[in-house]
Amino acid sequence: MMTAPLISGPSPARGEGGRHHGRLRFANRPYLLILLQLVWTGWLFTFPVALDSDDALNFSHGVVRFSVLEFSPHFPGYPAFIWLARLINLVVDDPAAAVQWASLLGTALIAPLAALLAVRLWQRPSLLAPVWLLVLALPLTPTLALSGLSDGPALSAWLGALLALQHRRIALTGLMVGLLLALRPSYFVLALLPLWLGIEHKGERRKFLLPIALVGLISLIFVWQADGWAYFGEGRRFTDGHFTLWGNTAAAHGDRLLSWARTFNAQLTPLWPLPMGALLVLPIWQGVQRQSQALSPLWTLYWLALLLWTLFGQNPDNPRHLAPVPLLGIVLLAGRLPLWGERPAMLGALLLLMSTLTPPAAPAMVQAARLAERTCPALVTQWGVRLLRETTTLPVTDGWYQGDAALALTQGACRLSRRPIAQSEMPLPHQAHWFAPRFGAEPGLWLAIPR
Amino acid sequence: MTIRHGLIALALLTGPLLTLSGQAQAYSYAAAGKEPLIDAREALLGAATDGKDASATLSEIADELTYLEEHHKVELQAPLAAAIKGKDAAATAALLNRAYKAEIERRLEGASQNLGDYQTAKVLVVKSKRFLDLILPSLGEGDRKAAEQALAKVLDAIGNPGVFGVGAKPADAAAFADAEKALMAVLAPL
Repeated sequence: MMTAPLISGPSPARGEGGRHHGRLRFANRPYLLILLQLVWTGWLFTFPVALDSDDALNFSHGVVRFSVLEFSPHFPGYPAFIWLARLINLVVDDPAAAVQWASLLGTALIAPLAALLAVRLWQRPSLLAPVWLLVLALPLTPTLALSGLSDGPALSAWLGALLALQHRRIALTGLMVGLLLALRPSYFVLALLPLWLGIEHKGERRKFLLPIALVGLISLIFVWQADGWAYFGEGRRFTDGHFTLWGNTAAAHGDRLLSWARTFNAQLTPLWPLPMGALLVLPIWQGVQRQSQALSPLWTLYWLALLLWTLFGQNPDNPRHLAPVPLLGIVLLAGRLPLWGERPAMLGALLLLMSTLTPPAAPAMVQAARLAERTCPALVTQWGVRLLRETTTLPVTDGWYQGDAALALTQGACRLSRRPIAQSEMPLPHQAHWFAPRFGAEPGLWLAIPR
Repeated sequence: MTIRHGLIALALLTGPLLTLSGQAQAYSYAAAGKEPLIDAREALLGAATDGKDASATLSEIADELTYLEEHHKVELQAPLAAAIKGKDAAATAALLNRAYKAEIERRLEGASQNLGDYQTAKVLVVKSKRFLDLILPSLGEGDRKAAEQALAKVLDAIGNPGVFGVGAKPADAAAFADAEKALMAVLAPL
């Protein structure tokens, strides 16, 4: 009985059938992708080691001396990321480099894992290249790679869990979910679907839950040895602050949803409602077209849960917080790509990738800090307070304390901000300098220097 | 189904347990979060700048300030009220820094008396760090570095209980005293 070929125009070298039916013979295509991936990763390795946020600095402190109370790193401690960074630190002996490269290596896995997941979900091997290239081309990806944060590795663990689930490797799924939670606990919403589907495997629940429990236990012991019971008190304080003070979430400020709309516009172009709408109607769309390979509506529900969690529980000022939404969106919508659309999609993604390439440069924060050190007597900022205090000789006032900030500004301090600073906002006339971000998802910075 | 029910039950039970247990164990006035003098800073400086009425804020922190005046030989309440009335933001900030110096002294004394209890000592030193962070911008460059190094030495001197004794490091009272003295010396001019 002849079945329809699963790939269009199968190569004559597809073999005599067997289990794989020639699915794995792509005439060297995966090797080109792997080569591109290595070149892309190598390009990112040439960027200077420069932490550009307090969070990344906290991680680098945690590599040397771990304590959540001391904000090294901040709550909840991200134990798995600290382990990864410490492993790399054994080789490089430089905490800042260890943190940046831990983030880089973790993020480098996102594109291949997302592509493999799309291939497996939709049973379409020809989706490998378009999805791989599109994820590499997202400005979010190099941003995550150089951020020195645990978002990238956590997203890789998440995609790895979903992929392992598709391959029925239950214990591996459990390990990936455990690592996901230990790398970035606020991604617990991402763990929901793998957890649900994993528990569905009735005979293997223990095999699934054991790795999660083990990773959890080791993480708990790790944070306990540094802080003990005070860890939980600090957790409560930090969570309160995140939702009511500095976290900037929509839970505290209703107009943060507008902020998110602006972020979506900037990151995903103003056309973002189109793919989002498509994702929401995916179950109906699939039903209408009677696709041979349709996904359960659980996936759309899951994506919706991710979206709502991002909108209401995450800080819209940081575009990296929306990363799971387009990543899963690309994987889910990939199946709707018609066969004739694959090659144009690949070319489009390649062009987009070329447009994100820039020569290696220091991040905006570092450039701004260098100028400020040369020209300012003092600095007021809400971004990277601890970072600037440790890497520059300037007295840095935390802009969160507006009374102190106002006092410092009247005494001639410069001001660093992510938003343009109007003349009326500073007591003295000033000149504003703009430091452009290296990638679309990084924030740029304004430095106002009093004349 | 039983495992799923068990997981839900576990989550429901441990959730409240985790949030409540921290408070029961932490040292009394180093409770998570609330630091009256830090929370009041914004209101007091705002009052000094804009001429708003600060009497409510001042009465809230009166107990803290009285304690510091009695035990740490500083004059705070009268000069603060005068500075705010005179709309002198710089003087208000300076007085608050003096109050924070006294708070650091208080917490470090508490920590040195509790060196045997890692939890308590750690929380008290971390509290002092929060106060120090607010004082730092007003110090000179050399002083800033010296203060940060001294506090790092204080943290180190508390030691570490390890995990069931593995990797334990005992508290070093002498090193603690030296580092505390160094820190207070840097802050003396305030």
